[in-house]
Amino acid sequence: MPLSEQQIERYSRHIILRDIGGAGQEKLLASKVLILGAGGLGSPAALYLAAAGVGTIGLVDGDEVDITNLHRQIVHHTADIGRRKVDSAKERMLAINPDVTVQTYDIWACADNIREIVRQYDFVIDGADNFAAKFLINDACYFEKVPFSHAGILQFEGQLMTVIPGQTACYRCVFRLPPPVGSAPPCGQAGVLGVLPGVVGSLQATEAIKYLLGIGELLTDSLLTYSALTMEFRKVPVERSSDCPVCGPKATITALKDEGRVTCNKKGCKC
Amino acid sequence: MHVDTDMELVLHLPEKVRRDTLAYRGQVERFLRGELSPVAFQACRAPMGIYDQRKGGTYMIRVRIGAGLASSAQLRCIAELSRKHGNGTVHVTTRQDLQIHDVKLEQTPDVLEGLLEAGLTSCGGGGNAVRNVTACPRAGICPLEQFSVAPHALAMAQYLLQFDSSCNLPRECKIAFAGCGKDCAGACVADLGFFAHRRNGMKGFAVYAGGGLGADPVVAVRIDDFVEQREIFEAAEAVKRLLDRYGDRSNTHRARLRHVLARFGPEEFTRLYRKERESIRRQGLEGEPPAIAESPDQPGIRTRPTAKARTPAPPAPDLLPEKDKHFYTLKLRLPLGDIPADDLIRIAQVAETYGAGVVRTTQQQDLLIPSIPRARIKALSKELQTLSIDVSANGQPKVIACPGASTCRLGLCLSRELAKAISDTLARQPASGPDGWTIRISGCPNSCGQHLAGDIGFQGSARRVNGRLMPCYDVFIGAKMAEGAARLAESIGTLPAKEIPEFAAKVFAEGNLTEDRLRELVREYGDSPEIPEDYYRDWGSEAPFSPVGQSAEPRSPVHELDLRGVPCPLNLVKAKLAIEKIPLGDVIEIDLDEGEPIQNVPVSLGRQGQEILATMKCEDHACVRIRRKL
Repeated sequence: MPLSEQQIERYSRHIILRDIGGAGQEKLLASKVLILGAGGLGSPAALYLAAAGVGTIGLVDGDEVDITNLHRQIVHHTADIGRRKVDSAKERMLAINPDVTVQTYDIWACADNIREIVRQYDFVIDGADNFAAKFLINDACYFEKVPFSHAGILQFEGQLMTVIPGQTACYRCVFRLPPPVGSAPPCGQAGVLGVLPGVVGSLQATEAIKYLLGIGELLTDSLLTYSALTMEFRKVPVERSSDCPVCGPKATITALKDEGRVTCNKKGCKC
Repeated sequence: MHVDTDMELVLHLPEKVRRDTLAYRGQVERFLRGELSPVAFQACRAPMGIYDQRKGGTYMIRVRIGAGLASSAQLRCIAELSRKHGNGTVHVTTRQDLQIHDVKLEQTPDVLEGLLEAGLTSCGGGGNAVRNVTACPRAGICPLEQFSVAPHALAMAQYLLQFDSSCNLPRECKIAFAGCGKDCAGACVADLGFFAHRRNGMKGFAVYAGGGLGADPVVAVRIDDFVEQREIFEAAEAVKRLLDRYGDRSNTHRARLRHVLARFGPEEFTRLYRKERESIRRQGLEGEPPAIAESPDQPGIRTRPTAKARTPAPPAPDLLPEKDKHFYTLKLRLPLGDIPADDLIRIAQVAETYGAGVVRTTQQQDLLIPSIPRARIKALSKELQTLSIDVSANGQPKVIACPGASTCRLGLCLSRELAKAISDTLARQPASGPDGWTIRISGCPNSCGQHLAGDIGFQGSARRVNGRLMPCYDVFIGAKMAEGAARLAESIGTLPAKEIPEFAAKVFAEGNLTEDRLRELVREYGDSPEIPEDYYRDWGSEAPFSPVGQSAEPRSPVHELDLRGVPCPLNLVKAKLAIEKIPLGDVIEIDLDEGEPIQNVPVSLGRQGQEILATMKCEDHACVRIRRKL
């Protein structure tokens, strides 16, 4: 579909870029990206993907906005406290760009529902805040063969990698299993610099856009680590593992399983 | 004074050139059988100096003539090949090459193999390669030179032609050697220029880089004060590596060495050059640098001079003094740089009989016969009168033109036809005017006529007047070619093509002209209240002027887009969107406002890899013609 006059103006700075042009922008408008988690990582990703004109953006989050979220989850405002996160995020995304369609899933992703959702999308962004969910996302994307961006943050450090399932290293190639329960604290206990997921989530949106446009070099077979205190970025080369339990030749994981708690919503705990 | 013949002053072709030439035949056969795509074949033929012409199916072959030095045997070879496989007319280029035109594709291997037998090659004559290494046309015989740079130019070509990398650069690399600061070789507008100097009695060069005409024209910058003569290969290798590494292969319009220099700035570029030389010095040069021939001052003479001349040589513009007072060089003025093959054979023979068996090609598209003893000048001149064309200058300025739109796919205007019109007009009035001036004409901004280096330069362009396209030329004056003090010509206005011969006639009738008077003249000729119908036709053409489409092939329609009233950068956005919708290779004409729009949009699109064919001024707006390349 040709761009309207308004769209030409809205996306003019994209169109000027040699690597995007009108054709690239039209590709974005026809693309679908799923964001799992409308929290720290999901917030900037959602805002930037909407601004960029990604035509359909899916948002999965079963939680409501809490005051403790607001120092980092910038898609939500003070007036949204108590609202469903997906509703609050959708409203903000459409305010930036009414062009996009936001599909909300007010649920917790789990082994029973995630594959059905993932398969409708071109790219997935892992914005989950717990390990079980991250492994679930990895496995689901592998089975559905949908590329995704993995990221994790804590305190002052973040990490990021892009996975093309079946082609490049997956999350389990690098991190075989979730860490023992209790060994890695959630943000509620360890704390996190508010702007940290802002940086990392924006990088995830960048990878999504690059993938959709087919430009640049994706962060595949590479783990990017970021240390906010020292401003050091490191790209650590990683490889597909020949005994990866999900994507290796002798895979042992052939179906999804909820490993431990998928969500840290112990009653009264507010991560 | 009997000196060894010029056996040493010869371009010794490396084995690689021989191999590549023999491999070329196979590539042509595969292409003709459909096993090689046109794009893949172009990558084979361009570095072999084979250019396609507007007349489909025919090709031009550009033969390198190192240092502009050709032996009589070599000239005969080229003339025969032109007669047998080409159109029987040989052309001298502004970089001292010799061109054979109108060769059918199937016969191009025959020409290349024929050239090889005479020790000649067109390898690197075109494409993204190290091109002909030129030298002052009178190297070895000029009274003003520091020392002869012909051996160095030849050795440099011999060295660089060994490597695959020399034909696989981001863009072409033009190297020139000048024997003195007067720079008849054009080193100050070369990618790499060497100026001869002596230091403590040692022969060496000041090194300049990053010069060029064509898009973003600029004078070269000095990057090395002095390199000894044996170090020139190291210096050239260093510069070549910088071009190879930093030339922007993704954008052909920004891939020349001068663009690399502009990106880094002269200081950083010089620093990178020094670092590269250091590294070459540590690792050693790849391949053996050839020995530089000891130049005899006279490139090989055959006869002993007479002890005393009986009559002093007649002073004439066609006769040039040499270092050795007993000898002269005869200049043959070739109109449009063309010489019929039969005449060329005659000239070759005459050079053997009267001179040293060598002929020099010049950057002004002329030929020189050097080493003529004073006593034999008269006889030689008489022999030359039997040529089919008149090769005497008759005091007229030399008019140099690029091939132009009649044969070149990139040309906008018919530059050769204009050159002829100018020469004919000037011939009708007594020879006068600024002595030794050259008029240089390029049919488009690519500047193959080197119009920014001429005393008066004309660059072909197009204007929209009363809604119709008119061929025009921008007028350039004020060029100065000199080591360290070079200046490119500047535009003083635009004239309709049909007014240029009269303009030139006036310039040369008035004699010594100031810049102010020249500017006045352009204005005087520029104002035309009523435009005659034939102004809309170019010289030598009956058809209404069209900058694209002088070819005989059917053209696809030119797309149009009106962006008048659209501000920057929205106009760029819309131009891009429109270009994305047309097929690759098609042409689109976009109307833009004057000022920022016409200044910015073509440049931005060009930077992104589109081909800007022409920028035209219309009455109240501007217009740009673009061919979609990406």
